[in-house]
Amino acid sequence: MGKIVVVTSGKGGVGKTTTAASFAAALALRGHKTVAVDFDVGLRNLDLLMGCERRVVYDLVNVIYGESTLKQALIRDKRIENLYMLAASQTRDKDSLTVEGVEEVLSMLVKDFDYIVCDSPAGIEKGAQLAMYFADEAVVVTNPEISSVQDSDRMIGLLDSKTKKAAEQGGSVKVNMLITRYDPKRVTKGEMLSIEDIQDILAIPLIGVVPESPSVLHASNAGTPVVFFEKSEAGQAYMDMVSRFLGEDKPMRFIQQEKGLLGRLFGGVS
Amino acid sequence: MALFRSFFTSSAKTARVPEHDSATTARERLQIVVAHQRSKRLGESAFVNLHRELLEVVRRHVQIEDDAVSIQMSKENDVDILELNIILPEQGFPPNQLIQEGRQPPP
Repeated sequence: MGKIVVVTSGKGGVGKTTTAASFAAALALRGHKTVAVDFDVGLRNLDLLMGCERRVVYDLVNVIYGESTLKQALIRDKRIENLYMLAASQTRDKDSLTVEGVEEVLSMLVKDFDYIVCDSPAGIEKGAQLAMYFADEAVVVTNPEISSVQDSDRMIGLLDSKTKKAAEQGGSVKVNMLITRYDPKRVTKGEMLSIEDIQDILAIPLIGVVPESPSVLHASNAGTPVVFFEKSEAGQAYMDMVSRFLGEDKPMRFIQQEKGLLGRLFGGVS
Repeated sequence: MALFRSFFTSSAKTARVPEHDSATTARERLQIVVAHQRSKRLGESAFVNLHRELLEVVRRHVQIEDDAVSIQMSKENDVDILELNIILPEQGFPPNQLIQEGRQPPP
């Protein structure tokens, strides 16, 4: 039985889809058969970030309404084995997702995959609720910025109350926090919330910190999840995050300000 | 000459562009996606269906990839142009398949 993991945030533009693409790709790189599912009906992006937008023939909604088989709708990644994606519909309206329909598709996927990564739409409406409803685990993506932290707090509340796991006796969704677009330099200057600040407020376990990095934009331009850029700090941070997700002990990297040449020469003076 | 030009051109545009930087890739990918999204003449769902059905029809004769069919809608003066591109696999139609289909060229 596969594990269902939702990538969510409440606020838009914090890196949910970037995270879903890299998280799924990294799980596949680690040898786990993984599928990324886009729940953002009407505003699909995941196919674009994974570089398979021209190969979408059928989508999640087609499978729900029996207009195609699951096998027809699953798109196999051309770069690595074990990685698949299921696109959202761009033409249907967002109410075409139903609890029963989503449950049916996910129940087929858990039989065939080790991990099902659900990319949630922004907001707290139906699409976002359905993306999280059947989750076993959640990754809440947060930027070090007040409105993002506020919205993440709201999502954590929903994950604790509005999911199938939460409705079961004694069940709960394991919630992890991922901080993205972190800039240690600005934290040192006192311009940005620190990891500790965010942890104090949200009080959930931290699974990774992805630094602000130019390679994230290059990656989305190219339609390649950033984990495929081995030299990218963001890519490495996502690989680390997946190691932690799989239960390994990895110290956080890229969270200290790199000392400049002068700083290194006169270490400690500044 | 190209070297000469690259030394002496001051235009930011030419200086910036190595043939395929990632922004160029992004622009090209977007043009295709957005063309589909915006097509008013042929509704977007018609685009999706047309793509599917074309794939089906072509696949009755030759196996092609999902991304081998591309559809573009454009406008030139008063004329709407629907442009279809179908990329066949390298071998093209195997000759025996032509015979099976009864389309053998006359001797």
